[in-house]
Amino acid sequence: MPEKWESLPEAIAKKAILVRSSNPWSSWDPPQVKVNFNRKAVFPSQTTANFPSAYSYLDWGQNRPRPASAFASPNRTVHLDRLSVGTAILSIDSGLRLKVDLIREGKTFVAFNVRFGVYGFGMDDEQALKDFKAAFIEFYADIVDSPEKELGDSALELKKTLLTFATLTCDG
Amino acid sequence: MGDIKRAVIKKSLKEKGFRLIKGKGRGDHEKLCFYHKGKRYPNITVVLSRGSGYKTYSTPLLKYMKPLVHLDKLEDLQNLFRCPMSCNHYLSILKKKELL
Repeated sequence: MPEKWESLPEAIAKKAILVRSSNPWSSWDPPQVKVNFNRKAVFPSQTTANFPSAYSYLDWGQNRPRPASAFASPNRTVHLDRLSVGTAILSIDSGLRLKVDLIREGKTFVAFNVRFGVYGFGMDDEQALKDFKAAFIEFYADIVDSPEKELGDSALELKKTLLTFATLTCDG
Repeated sequence: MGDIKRAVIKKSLKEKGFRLIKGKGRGDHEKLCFYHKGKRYPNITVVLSRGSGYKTYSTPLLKYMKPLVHLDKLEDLQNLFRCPMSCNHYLSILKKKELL
């Protein structure tokens, strides 16, 4: 693993800067935190150039209860820090969350994360989210088990991100 | 935008560098993963339904496929599947998005 990635957790602990939206209480979404390796305050619209793109899809936030109205909308975003399907549990480091968009296209509900290219489908959003979790765990196992020489650059970047921030365990 | 047959989508994706992943895919779905210069990109993967109700992909279903293949416009997706978009053009889009 390149040195750049070996020192990443330490770098993040030292350099992560919290960036809140102007009105963090205007929606149920947790405030976004972007990792900025240059120690400059950077707002979400300006962040893409300064750190590996994968991090923009791992959101950092506080645990706050979501209002009931958030569940009523067919198109919404959820942030997961733990995915479990059967006995498989994928835990994402404390404070980090995986962003999942939920949309409805006709009769099909789709849960997805574009950066990782992982999708789940269902007849309702709960089913789509469950399918997404299974797909993401499958994706994790696939990408982590794959030798680095077989993976393209962007896939390798995601593998390193996952190895740094997520742990897959089997309960029982 | 008109409907596109699943077989046309599959054929077109294979021409653009996607390969069918045998034994992968959940339930009634099959998975096509993007390959470039012998390297695999699991983050550029298309999931197609095998179900009899999905022999043709209508606009709503095509809409969700846009981000799967990392395209921004429905028109681009149509060009990708109906072949006006060349393999090189698609590669240039992926490169522009720093995916390759």
